[in-house]
Amino acid sequence: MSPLLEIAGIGKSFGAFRALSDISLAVEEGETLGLIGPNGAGKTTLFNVVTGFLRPDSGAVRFAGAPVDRLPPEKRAALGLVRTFQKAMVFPALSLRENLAMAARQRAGHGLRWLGARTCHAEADAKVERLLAESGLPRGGGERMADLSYGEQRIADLLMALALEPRLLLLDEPTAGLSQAEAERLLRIVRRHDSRTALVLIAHDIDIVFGHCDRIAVMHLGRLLRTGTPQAVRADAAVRAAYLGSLAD
Amino acid sequence: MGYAIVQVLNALSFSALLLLTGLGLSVVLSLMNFVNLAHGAFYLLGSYVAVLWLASGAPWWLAFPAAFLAAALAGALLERFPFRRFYARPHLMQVLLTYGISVILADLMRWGFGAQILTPELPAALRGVVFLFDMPFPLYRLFLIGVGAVLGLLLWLLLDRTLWGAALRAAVTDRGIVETLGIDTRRLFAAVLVLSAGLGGLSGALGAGMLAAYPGLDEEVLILALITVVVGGLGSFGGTVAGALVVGFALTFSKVWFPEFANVVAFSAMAGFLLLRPHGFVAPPLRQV
Amino acid sequence: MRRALLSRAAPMAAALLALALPAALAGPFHLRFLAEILLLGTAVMSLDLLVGSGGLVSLGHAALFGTAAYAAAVAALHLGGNLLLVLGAGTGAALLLAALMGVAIMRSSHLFLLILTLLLGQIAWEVAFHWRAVTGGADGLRGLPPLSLGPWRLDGPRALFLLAGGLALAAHALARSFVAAPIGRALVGAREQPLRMSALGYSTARIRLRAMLAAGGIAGAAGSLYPFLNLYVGPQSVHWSLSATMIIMLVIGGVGSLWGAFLGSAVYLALQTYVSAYTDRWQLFVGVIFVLIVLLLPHGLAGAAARWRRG
Ligand SMILES: Nc1ncnc2c1ncn2[C@@H]1O[C@H](COP(=O)(O)OP(=O)(O)OP(=O)(O)O)[C@@H](O)[C@H]1O
Ligand SMILES: [Mg+2]
Repeated sequence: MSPLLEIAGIGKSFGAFRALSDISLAVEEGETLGLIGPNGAGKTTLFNVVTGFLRPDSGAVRFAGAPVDRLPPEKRAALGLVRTFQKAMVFPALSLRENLAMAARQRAGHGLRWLGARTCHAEADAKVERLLAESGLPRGGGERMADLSYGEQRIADLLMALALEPRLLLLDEPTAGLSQAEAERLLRIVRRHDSRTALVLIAHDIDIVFGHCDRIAVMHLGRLLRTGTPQAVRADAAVRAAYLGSLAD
Repeated sequence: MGYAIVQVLNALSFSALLLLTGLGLSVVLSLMNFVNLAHGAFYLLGSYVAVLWLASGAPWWLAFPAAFLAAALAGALLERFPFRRFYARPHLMQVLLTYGISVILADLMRWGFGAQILTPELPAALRGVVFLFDMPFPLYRLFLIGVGAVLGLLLWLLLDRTLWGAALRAAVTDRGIVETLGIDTRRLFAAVLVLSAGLGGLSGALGAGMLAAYPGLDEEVLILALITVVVGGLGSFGGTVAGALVVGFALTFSKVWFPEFANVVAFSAMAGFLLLRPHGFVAPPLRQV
Repeated sequence: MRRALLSRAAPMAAALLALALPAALAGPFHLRFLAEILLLGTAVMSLDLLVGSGGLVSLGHAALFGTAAYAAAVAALHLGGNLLLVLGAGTGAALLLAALMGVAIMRSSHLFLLILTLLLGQIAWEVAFHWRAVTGGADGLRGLPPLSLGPWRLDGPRALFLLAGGLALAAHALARSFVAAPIGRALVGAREQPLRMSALGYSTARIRLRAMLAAGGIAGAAGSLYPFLNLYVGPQSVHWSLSATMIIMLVIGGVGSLWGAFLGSAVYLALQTYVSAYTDRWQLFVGVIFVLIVLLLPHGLAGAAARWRRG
């Protein structure tokens, strides 16, 4: 069986600055991969390349056995390659329920329907209720997104991604700015959702990454330093020098 | 050969006019993120002032500073109210406000200056033609090309090479920080708008010798200037120069080659350009994701 | 349930009354005038789909309206004034142009979109102005046959008014269903967070294309009837200044409310008709009122009315 996501030889420059050089990486079905690295290492840029928001200068991305290099972001999302953004990217003026329904409708293939709106809305609403109940958010769903707390917005942001029922979910610092308890709750929601969903998790919080991931990839200055189990990565000298340094000691 | 050169010069003189008008627009757009659709009105005001001045018998060359001052004064008044309140508003609201203002100004000018076409009495020094390769070419257009190049250069030096320009660009990036340095950004922005309005008036004075002055010209010029700035990529100096050349040459040569469908061809070329480059010539490298 | 029914029936009844009263009482001049308000209002309402929901400020909307008007007039001149034929020809032409515009604006936004739609609209105007053999050039087309539907002639002002009213009601219902449907929500989403929409699997290009088609179809239907008010169509109906006027009407009425479009076109046309009888400075009036509304009532008259009703 080929891996779910296969990245080979990705390179990306912004002008003279090399943000990514020769990144190769594979993610298996159902696994949780942690992606760590200091600020500016190129983690978000890698997500952007994988999800089609940026075109790489070189290299190839395969998803579920097929090349996706020529597909725009929305087509990749439709295949189940779903991401969140480093900043919570929600629709602040819309209600919480409408935010989630936007994702649910698209997942059901009704995103652009005009006729038969009533059934589409009913279907989406049912799904949104399920998601909201599952999430444990103490919210009815009618409140404006902008009025929610930051932590709740991040959970809603995640729920939107989950509403798409992804095969691979790329989470860009979903726990940044959250309290320990909120972060744990958010990760529980992810895990509970679907055990077959593969997960790539960017986080700066070492405890979270080492505690929740099967494997860890470390990036530094646009290169992939090391990929391996948490123990192996923790023990790696190059990683310690580049990144963990004082943190690991 | 001579014919081709004359047409190129024609295109250049038109580009020079577009550049001057477009620069006024792009300066406020790039430096203050403000869309000023009343710019066409400043232009036309400058044209009228110049026409009246040249008819009055006063020294002719003072017509240009007079037009600059008149439009700058109008700009200063409008800056205090209501433009100032809209600097931080979305582009759509700025477009609406300034378009409304331009409707008012257009009717006020029609009231004050009449509805007929006014052509300036050019001084002897700028009248007549010169012969280039045995082809007659209006002297005034050469004058326009020269003035356009010189003024463009001066403006570039002012904004790009002086401390004032640096403070301005810094204020655009982060108003708060510049204010903590003790620079009054309100005055800075007011100065830019007044300068831009004055430029509009000055280009109107210069353009009057080519396009005359009449009600409705404000909108025509505004649209062309807007196309220039948009094709150039909204507000970088080099972009506006490129935009002025594209629009000037497209409009001139489509008239030469396709006299019947000149505008269709020219507009199609510009639209096609915007299809290929949806963010214009010089797109700022903004990080989106 | 009964309340919901009532709250939906009440505006409907009010609208029908608003149509029935003038139909019974108004004279021919006013009926024509009201019909014009309704037709232009319908076009402005379709613009509201783009501007209000999508944040897509088009300066080429008159091109859709005017192209439909020309297509309908040409069809009527050659094949007679059958209502369905005229509506079909006009709406079809507008849909074609809308498809073109929709494809063109796929990757543009803000001022770029404004200028791109302006350019496309002006190309349509140039064609209308210079293609004398078909469009009559600057003179436009005169001597259109009156509208008819089977055995009925629809040429009196009352028939035209009722026709325009029926069209406006139908168009309003369509526009409302569009806004409420998933596509309408997606249009709002693409305005608010285009990147997130792509990440959710939406194609913003297709959203825009559909919005443009819906708006173009509605504007086209209104444009198809427009020439028959005065049995004349001229290039002014395609010109960008009419597009700008539509935006003014929309802002006066209230962006995003749909029904405000009718209010805005009524106010504008009333100013144009009545103030211009007293003074040459009616454009000054329009400008001042417009600026005051932008300054004081950012949601237009409809927004003010809604606020007032809520207390
Ligand atoms: N669109 C862009 N244009 C120019 N430079 C960019 C762009 N996107 C990213 N960069 C640069 O590439 C480098 C890597 O950025 P990236 O956001 O991928 O880092 P990161 O690992 O996600 O860092 P952080 O932990 O701070 O989020 C940075 O130096 C950044 O400035
Ligand atoms: Mg990042």
